[in-house]
Amino acid sequence: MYTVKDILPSEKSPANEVTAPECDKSIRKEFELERCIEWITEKGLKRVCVQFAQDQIHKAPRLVHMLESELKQKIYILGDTSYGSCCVDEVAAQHVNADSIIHFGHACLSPSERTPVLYIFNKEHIDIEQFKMCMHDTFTCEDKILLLYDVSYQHAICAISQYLKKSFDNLIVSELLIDGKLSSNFEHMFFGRVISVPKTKINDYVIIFIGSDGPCIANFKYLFPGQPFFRYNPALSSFEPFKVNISKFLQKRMYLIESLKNVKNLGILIGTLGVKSYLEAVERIKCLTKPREIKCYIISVGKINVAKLANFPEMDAYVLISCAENSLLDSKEFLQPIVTPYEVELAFNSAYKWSEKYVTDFTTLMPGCDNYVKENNDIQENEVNVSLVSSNVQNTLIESNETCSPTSLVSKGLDSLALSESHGCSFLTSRSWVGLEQKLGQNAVEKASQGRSGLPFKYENENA
Amino acid sequence: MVNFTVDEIRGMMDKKRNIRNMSVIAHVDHGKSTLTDSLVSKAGIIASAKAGETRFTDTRKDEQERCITIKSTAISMYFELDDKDLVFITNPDQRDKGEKGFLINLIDSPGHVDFSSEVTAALRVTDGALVVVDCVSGVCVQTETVLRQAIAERIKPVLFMNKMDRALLELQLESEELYQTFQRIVENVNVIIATYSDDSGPMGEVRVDPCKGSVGFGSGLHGWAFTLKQFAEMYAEKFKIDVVKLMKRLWGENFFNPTTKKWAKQKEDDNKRSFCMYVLDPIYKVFNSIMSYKKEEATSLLKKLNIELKPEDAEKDGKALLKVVMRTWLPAGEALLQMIAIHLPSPVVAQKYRMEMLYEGPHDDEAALAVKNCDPNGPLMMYVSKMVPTSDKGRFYAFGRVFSGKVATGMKARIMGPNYVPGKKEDLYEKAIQRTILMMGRYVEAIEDVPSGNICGLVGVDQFLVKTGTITTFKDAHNMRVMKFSVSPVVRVAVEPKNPADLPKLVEGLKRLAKSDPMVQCIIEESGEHIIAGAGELHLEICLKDLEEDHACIPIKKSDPVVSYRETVSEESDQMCLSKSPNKHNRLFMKAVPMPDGLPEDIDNGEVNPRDEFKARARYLGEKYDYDVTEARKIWSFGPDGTGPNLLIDCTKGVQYLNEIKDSVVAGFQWATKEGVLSEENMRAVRFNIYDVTLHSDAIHRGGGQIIPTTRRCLYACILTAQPRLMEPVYLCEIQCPEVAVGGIYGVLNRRRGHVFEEMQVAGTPMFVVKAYLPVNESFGFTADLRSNTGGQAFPQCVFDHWQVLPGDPTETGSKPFAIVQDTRKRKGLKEGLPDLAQYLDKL
Repeated sequence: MYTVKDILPSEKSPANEVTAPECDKSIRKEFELERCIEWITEKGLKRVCVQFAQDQIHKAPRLVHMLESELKQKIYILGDTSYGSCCVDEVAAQHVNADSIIHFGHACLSPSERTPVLYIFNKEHIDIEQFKMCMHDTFTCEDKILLLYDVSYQHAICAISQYLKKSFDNLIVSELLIDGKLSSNFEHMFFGRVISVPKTKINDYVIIFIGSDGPCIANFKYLFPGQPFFRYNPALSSFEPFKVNISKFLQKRMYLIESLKNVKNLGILIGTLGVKSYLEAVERIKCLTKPREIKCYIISVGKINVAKLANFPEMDAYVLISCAENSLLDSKEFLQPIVTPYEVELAFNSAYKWSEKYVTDFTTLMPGCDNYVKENNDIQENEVNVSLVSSNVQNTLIESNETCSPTSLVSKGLDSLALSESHGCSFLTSRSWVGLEQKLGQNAVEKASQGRSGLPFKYENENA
Repeated sequence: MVNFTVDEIRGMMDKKRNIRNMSVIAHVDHGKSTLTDSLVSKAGIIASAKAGETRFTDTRKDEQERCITIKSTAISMYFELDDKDLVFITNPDQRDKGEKGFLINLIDSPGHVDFSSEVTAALRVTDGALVVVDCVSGVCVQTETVLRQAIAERIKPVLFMNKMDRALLELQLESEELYQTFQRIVENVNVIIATYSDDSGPMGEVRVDPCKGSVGFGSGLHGWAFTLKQFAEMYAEKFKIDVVKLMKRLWGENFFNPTTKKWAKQKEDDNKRSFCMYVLDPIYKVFNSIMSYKKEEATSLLKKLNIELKPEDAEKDGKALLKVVMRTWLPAGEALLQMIAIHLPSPVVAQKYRMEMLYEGPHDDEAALAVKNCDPNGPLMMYVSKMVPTSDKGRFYAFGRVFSGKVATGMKARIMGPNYVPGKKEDLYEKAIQRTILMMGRYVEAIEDVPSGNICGLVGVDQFLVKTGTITTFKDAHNMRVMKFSVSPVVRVAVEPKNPADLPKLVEGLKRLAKSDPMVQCIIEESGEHIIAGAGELHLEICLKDLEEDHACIPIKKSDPVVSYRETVSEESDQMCLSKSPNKHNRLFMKAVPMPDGLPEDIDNGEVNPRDEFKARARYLGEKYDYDVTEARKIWSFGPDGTGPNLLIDCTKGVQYLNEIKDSVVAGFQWATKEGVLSEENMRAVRFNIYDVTLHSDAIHRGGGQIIPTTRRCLYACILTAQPRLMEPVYLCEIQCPEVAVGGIYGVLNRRRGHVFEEMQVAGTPMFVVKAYLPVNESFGFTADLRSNTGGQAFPQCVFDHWQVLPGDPTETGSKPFAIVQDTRKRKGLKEGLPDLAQYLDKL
């Protein structure tokens, strides 16, 4: 976390200096300074944090400088978010006891719970006239159309919707859920977008998405795999059917589900601290894995990378709890497979019926939500327990052989007792290196000497 | 009517000396199932008139339609032996005093090489084998393969010459010619037996001998058969010679002069070979008289032979009459039963010498002794050799042999999979056995319990085993040794459901398929491909059909067959490869070297394996492969899967903290050898040497996270700098055909990159055997191609033989290996092109 003063001096490069007034103007426009000021003063907020997407952070000092000079109050910049920059970093904001956050740039709109948030999206250009023409070319007036769009086109959506509603009778324009709650039961929310169509009717609609290829459009496609789906590309001003090889995608995820079924130690990887009900999700996963004697470890390493996760070779797989746009992680380079909470449901909740749709938003899997299915812990008689990944017998829901807790004593051999092995420590026993080597008698006796101190980054007695 | 009840069978199960567990093995199309019918009809399960046509043990619809056995089928039968025959059983362990009845547990096995895993599974649970040879085509490739397997499992063989009807009717062989044919087959079989065993071995004399009655002759299709014993008995009175002595006279260089009534050892002008005179001539006469419709001659002949026909049969003529006459005169069931009861070992006899081959644990523990003595009161030891689908979808009978103790409905037992290690919990379940059942070909019978020495099925253990396993009540029991298959699953197809929503059904179906076949491998690859791997095209075809129709019941899309490749190197790395950890504080220095020829195979076969005592292993590697013994002692790991044919060797000197990172380096090595750098196929025959390691002095900076990915990168760099190559699987292909077709074979083989390494004539026949190596990748459609180019006269049998380096540099655009690498990468959804060395190699 930085305040303006920490960053500003280094940012004052001569080039910036020259164009400062112009730059100010564009920033003012781009980041909707007036709206920010209005929001802050209206709500009487005292400790405001601003959060930027990674590629925009260099503009932060300027903006904050302008805000501070107009509001005469201190504004904090949230840098280096621990997780995806599309999520609101509430935890970082709490370090300064912030009472609100302004989030700039692309956002995944995952519902957060604690702090009021103002979203200022980035703005992409869209030629509204062109879009209208394309609409008329492709669809008829009676077509049932559901219009979705990337957050960066939100600025234009008002104009688009006003015009289109005149000529398309059955057009539904989604709204971004940026403040507050759903207004009525008639509406539903998917990935931060409010759609006022009864859920059962959604299947009748053609889906149009304005924006570029990315996780957001993919999430919708996975959720509604069977429906006609078009993408409007504003850069080319053209519609194109949006096709993803769903079969290939599902087969690939099936590999992960199958490998999940062999897991003995599961790492629950915290990939968000902002998304509402992430703690419930952790509990839910624990609850699903417990009857199968899978040991869960909660692991929080901030931004995920290969080296960090490979530090826990005892994990057989990780389940990543993060916002919808970051949940599908290609685990190719990682030592262990990384799965989503939805896959945990499919693997361990025998009541969960597989369908083509794929849920990337874990919040909807929680009790009381759309995709929740109560688990059924009856032993499945007709399940064949061959793993298609390891070709061994699969870890299934079968009553345990001997009921013993990890700390109970079991007899070992004729006259000795030992702690029964739990999963985690059984891994440790298989390791060849178990600790410091004593080398008794091999080294000369030496007096203890002063060790090192400081940060490993650079120890105090280190020169380099 | 079935002439025994389940209760009778259960009663016989306790008389372990009167049990014979046997399999019927042969080359494809030599008439196993047809011959088996004779016994089944003798047991009254099918009508004798239908024997030879029913193929009772071919239980599947497609088996009946294609006339080919696909699955092995077990059937238990009860027979009684006449008193006169009982005296031939001399070993007291071969018969309970005063018991005439015998329980025969027979397993009919498939002959096609693609299904030879079924044969392996059958042999494991039996003690004797009836080896069937078509006397027209002689000893074939698969005859040799199954016989070799039988001997290796310590299964005692008896021989049966089938299809005599063809020899007589179609080929019209003279009797002396026919004798020579028989003689040659017996010799060939004995040569094979002698190659893989010796008479001084634990099994005693294994060779087959017509004089002893361990060779049968006849026709399964017509339902008649004999051994020399039958004929000796007919003539014994006439000659006033003891049956046993006469049997010896009736075979080999024994000639009889009918005018002087003198025996001689040499052929002279006026004498005749006894076998031809006393055995073949009567048969020829019957054939001639009936087939040339000489009714009167036939009738008088029948009278002479004491054959009485039923009135409705006497009306018949031609082939139909011939069948009835021969079947009445020399019933096949009787001859087979005698061969089986007299010459095949009882479990009591067999388990004495089979125990040491079967049991992995110490040979003097409780389980071992009980198995050795076939002790029904000892601890239960049962080996499950395969899974048989039940009518209940997704459930299976665990089919196997009780070697000691007793398995009973409802009893609690330990179920141990192949990965079970004594003292550990992995792959071990303690469960109640829901039901024990008797396998009766097309149906099953419930049975209360089954004592040692018997074959049976279990209900309720299939969930805890994949395909095979050991079931025991002895807490300290080790596993029974896993079966070694003679074929490998090298041909693969990828399947996907036509409708993506059916994916879970496909997965469930694949799991069922994996269980129901001893050999097939069903895997989901990381790329998401759902793969079925089988031994050959026919095997895959059957598997796919089963999957679509029985197991998954959904429409399926399947890819063209593909083979899996292996990644290897051809030179030593041309530079010392250095990779730095992400934090740049740790450095690994390694090189890759190709393994010497033979070592990867030694590792495959377990001659060199990770469980060896390291000093003995180092000595072996030093002597056989010129490895530096001190280095060979420091083999850190085998990979992939901890056992594969790649080695990681520590060649460092005095590196601090090295032991601490060993586990991490090994983990990286396992990862890299499993997914090679070129196309993520397994690596093969690569030795990696670690030459130097520099590590951060602070443990937190040299943890797994730093070392594991770095090891993988470094190993990839080693491969890329060591002239990487691809290896492809190669079939050993044996083709039998007449001389005229040999030219056609060469043409086909040449087009498919195959090469012939042996060509020889089968002695005494116009048949040629061509042996060739054929890349598996080129074998798709080979059988059909061969047939069309040889006018249907050549029939190949292909078995995976070895891995062979594919010539060409896979890193060179335009080469064949390059194309294969690109195809594979595309299939797996990897980035096209080749990975860049700079990604893996760091600068100092």
